[in-house]
Amino acid sequence: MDRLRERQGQVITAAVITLLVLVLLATGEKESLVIGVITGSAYGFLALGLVLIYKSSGVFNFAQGEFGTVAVYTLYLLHFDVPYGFALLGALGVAVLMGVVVERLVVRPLFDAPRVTLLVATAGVALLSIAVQIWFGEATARPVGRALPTLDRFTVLGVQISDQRLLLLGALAILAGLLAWFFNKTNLGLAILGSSQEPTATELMGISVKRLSTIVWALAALLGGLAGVLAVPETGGFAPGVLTVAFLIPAFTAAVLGGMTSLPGAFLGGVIVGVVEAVATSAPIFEDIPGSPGTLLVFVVLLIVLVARPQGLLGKAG
Amino acid sequence: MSQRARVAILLLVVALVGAACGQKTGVAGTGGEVVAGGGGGGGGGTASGQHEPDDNDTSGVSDSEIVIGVHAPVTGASPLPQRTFDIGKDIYWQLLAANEPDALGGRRVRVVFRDDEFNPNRAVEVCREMVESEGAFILVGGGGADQITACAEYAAENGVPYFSAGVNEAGLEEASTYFALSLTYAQQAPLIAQRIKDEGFEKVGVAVADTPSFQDGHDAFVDAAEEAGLDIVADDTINKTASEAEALAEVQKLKDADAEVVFILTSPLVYLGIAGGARNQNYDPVFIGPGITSGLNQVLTFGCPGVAKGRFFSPFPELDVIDELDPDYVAAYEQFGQGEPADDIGLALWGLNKTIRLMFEATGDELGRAALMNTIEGGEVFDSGVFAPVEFSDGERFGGTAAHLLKADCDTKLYSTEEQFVQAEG
Repeated sequence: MDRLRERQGQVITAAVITLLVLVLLATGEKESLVIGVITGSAYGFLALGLVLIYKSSGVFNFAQGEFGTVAVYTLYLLHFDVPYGFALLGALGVAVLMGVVVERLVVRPLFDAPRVTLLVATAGVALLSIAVQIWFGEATARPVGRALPTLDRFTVLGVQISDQRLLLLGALAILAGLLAWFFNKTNLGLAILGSSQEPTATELMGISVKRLSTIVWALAALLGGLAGVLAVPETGGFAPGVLTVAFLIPAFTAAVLGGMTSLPGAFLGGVIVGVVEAVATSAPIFEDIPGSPGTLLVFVVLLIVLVARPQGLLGKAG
Repeated sequence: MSQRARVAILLLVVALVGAACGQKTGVAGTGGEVVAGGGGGGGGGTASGQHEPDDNDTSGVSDSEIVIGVHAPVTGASPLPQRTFDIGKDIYWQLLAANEPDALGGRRVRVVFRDDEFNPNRAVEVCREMVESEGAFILVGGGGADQITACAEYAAENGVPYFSAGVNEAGLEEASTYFALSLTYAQQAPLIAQRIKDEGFEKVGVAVADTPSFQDGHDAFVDAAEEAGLDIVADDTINKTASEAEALAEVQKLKDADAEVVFILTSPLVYLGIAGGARNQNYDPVFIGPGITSGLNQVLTFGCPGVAKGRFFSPFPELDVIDELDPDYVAAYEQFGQGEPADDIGLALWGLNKTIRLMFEATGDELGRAALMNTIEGGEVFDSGVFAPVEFSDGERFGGTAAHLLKADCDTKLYSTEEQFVQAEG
């Protein structure tokens, strides 16, 4: 019985997913299922970084999208001069550097401040980043190419899936699994979790909390950067603040839906948000809803989940 | 709960709902304000369009200068390049000052530009700022139907003449100081339907952004398509700032419906999302629609090859024919363009400014807001040679008579002018 209670979240999640899939197949909305998975994976990637920061420091990081946008911008600039692979590595390097700089200049001085102060500070970082992008490059949309050009590797339920999408999905699934393993099984992962819950005790054990913070922010920035360079080329291009404007709110929703402390939950939440958006756009019963039925339905789903299970689908209570 | 508490809660709810309703129109807080110096007191004229000579407010006009306020989105969800706007906004006026210093009674034209951030509320703020702080005599909307509508309402309430290329009609037909200098979306609808039919397409999909500003354009196209005997196989509205999932779901619907041609009326970014998504799904329809911003070369720079089959009716022609229509344009850019090449955003502003110059000149030396609007509504035809001729009868707000048809070319990443001055019916 205790075991079942422990696994309540996973049971509910499995039931919700099964029900969702059955409903979509039965109502002829099977394409929305595929569209949701492939587009929601981008939200999931960004959500993964959000959960990482939250899990380790309790901060909602509003700058997470900008790690991705800066990476895409760098990819765009470097690709004029160097091959795509090197440009990609350079872009991820710049994202990690940005994460470290933000940690040293913004997060560390506010280490002991209330979490809400840090939340506002990260929002400030995002706004500053967007302003700098506009200042140097205007608010102009720019094209950015894919790492992998094949568009029709597979067709699943009538929807073509490109190699770039497969790369994104694969990277997301592997990283979510790896990070879950990292936090549960490695000393460094456990130290990071320990530092978020008992920073003084962690210091007394001889572990530098500040160094751990730098590692976490660098990792989160790497995840944000990966989200940018893998997801944005699939949409064709970018404008300043693209990940903050177009991806951050769905990513936050995905993170909360999956459970703010669960890395696999972030992946799952992203996919659910993508599926719900796609269904709301294509299903005839939502046609008469004015405005944005996708956004509306996503928040209805979020509300239902939080009422039934406040810690999110795969999160832990308390 | 006490009676007093219930009443207080009820009042709070009413206040919140009221505020929300005001917010939706995008002009909350503008009603009834009067600009210092005149023109207010119930707006800029009567519903029939007759503007009282006594209110011939000359704010923004001096013996040496005329001030024009221009707004457009250079940040936000559908940005246009700011530098291009900064350079292009007054090239025409600079050329006029250099070549014809005595024109407009010897006055120079100073153009003030503000970014409306693709946000109707912000558009009203910047329009008010340009009128009240910068002393703009007239206002010009550079793009974005919702922002143009919001700002035109503000302008009408304050008696300020407002000009833009044609967009929606709903919300603007009662704006007594508004003038559309090219065909509206609804006026272009029969041209588009006829073009689709002439090219032998039958199955038409419709994808229109979910904003009240596009409703009349949508309805007019559906009517025109049915009249032309076209088969509308899909008819959808899409979120104004659609996410990737929403764009891809829309593509799938159009593809499943087997639409050969898609009537598209959205922001350029949503168009790019749909066209790019279609290409990713090996679905290759022709996209056609009324276009101010979707017909800009910047869309091709960003969106090719997904937008390779795009065709848009536009107020202005493209650069391939401008030397034939107005040889001064490229020359003026070489002289005043700060080293930047002539482009189509500059051309749009050039056409607008050229038409406005004709209107100023027709008004004569007693240039004031009422005199200008009465002149425009006097039935005279203003033909810039770039935009199609415009003519406003008494009370008519939409003076366009024709449009240019632009065709995408992804080899050059430039639109070409497929047909010039395509006439509207009637």
